[in-house]
Amino acid sequence: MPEEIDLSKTTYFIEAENAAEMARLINQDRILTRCMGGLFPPQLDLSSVHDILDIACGPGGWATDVARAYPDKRVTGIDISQIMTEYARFQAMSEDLHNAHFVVMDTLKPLNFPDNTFDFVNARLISGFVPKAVWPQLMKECLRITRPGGIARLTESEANISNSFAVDRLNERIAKAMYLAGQTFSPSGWQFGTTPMLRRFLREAGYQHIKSSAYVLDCSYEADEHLSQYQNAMVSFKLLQPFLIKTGVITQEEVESLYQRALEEMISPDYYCVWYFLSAWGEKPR
Amino acid sequence: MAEAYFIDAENAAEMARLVNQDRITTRCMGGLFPPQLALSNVHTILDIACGPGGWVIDVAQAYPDKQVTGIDVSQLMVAYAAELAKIHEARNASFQVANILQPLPFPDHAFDLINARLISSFMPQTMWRQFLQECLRITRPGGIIRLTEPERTISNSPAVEQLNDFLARAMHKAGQSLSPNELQFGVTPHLRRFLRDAGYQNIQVASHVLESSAGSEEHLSQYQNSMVFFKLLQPFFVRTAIATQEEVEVLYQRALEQMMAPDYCALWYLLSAWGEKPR
Repeated sequence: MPEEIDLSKTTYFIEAENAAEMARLINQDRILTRCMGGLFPPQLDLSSVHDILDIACGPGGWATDVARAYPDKRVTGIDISQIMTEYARFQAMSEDLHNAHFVVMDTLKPLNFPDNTFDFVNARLISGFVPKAVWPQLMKECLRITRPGGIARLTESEANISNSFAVDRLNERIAKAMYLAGQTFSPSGWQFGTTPMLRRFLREAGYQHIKSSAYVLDCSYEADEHLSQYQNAMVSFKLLQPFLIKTGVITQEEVESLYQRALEEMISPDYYCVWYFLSAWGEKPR
Repeated sequence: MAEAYFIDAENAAEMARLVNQDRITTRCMGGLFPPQLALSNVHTILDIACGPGGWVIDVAQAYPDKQVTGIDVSQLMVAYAAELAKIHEARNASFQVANILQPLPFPDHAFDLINARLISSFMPQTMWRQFLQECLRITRPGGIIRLTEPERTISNSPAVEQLNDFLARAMHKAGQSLSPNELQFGVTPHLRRFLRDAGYQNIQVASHVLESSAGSEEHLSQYQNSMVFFKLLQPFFVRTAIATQEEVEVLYQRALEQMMAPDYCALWYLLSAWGEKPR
């Protein structure tokens, strides 16, 4: 028997039913897809992909994009949040996307789908709420619901790297808080350390022919995504404050003054910042 | 100008390491040039800090109609590269010894494409500006420069992480880091700035990843790379008073063991940035 995980504590570091968080995710979803160069890995043969699952779909950006681009494929999005799934459902309905469905479901519990249901299982940026110890069990569940020959793809990020003292300090405190909360893999907690693990998660679950690809989101002042990433940081650094204070890595005063300073430094013409992402995907043996 | 590289450039073990690392870096970058780049107008190419010449010879062989020059501060590396070019009959490849921290020994507008990979390991933070001004001078109008640099390794091995902490700290102390955080290199966010400040335009970036986890394609090659690299780095750590010889040796042995463990996970990210000299 796998170790019993205490699910009484909600593990996501930002409250999932928050409207500001939803607005942030709507934008961030779209930007991440663009930064990844599209909805699927370019090498993938989509002709045998009919049923698609998006895990922790948030407000449903990726799933509705897929449904719109591929009317012949069925897409299901699951998320723990009521407001996110309702928004996603409304969005799909308003566009007459009958091939997109959204269901409230807790990713940390057994997934409510029969074996061999999906040809493609997608999960992006889930490490924010998946405790370190739960990954193997989640990946086993993914394997179970993947069809033989189907694909699972994981996409995660490390903390961004910048020349701003305050942004760097906030990121360093976030990494430390997540380390203390048992959600990261770096042995010392200086970074998330999640991206080096993705290949291993897939392999240990039983996926094979694993491939990976790196992406970069340039958030520098002069980069295309500067404004969107400024807004993203403005919301996420704000919403993360209670988590940082609760884990004891920073005081209310320090986090507030760092936050103000970070906002200033991010809109300086000398602000340089890059954010690395990794996707790893593998195939379930036939 | 004091020699800033933290490993002795005339070391044969370092050369052997670079011979392999060159090839792996090219593979992880998906090829010799950015796929978006039109090569039809590129006739003369310079590789800066070419080491044992792997990239230069690969380019010379793939494009016999282009002239490729490699420069490096190391006598040993340049001699090796020239010998290798002879063996491969790559007559369009040439090499010369040059210190890139000094004015570059080429006339204005000499090259259509300039390539520089992993030079942050010996580039003092304050020298980037002057170096890129020199690059701009020798680039033809409409020509391209590409910089490629890494961030530090991220792994699940405590010993490998600690050695990389040492490396980041030692680079900070030596004035070669660009991050406010002493555990980061922080060079990759700046590549865009270096190019723009020098006067290049239409700047683009692309990321690459080199995975060295157990079970990955490059596991063994990266194990060997680290084995040499961290051995050669020991004097640098001791000299910068980051650690004692004893501490470094214990960690080194532990790191070698942890890198061979079946659950070892590690990778490093690289960023390429390239831009065009205004016509």
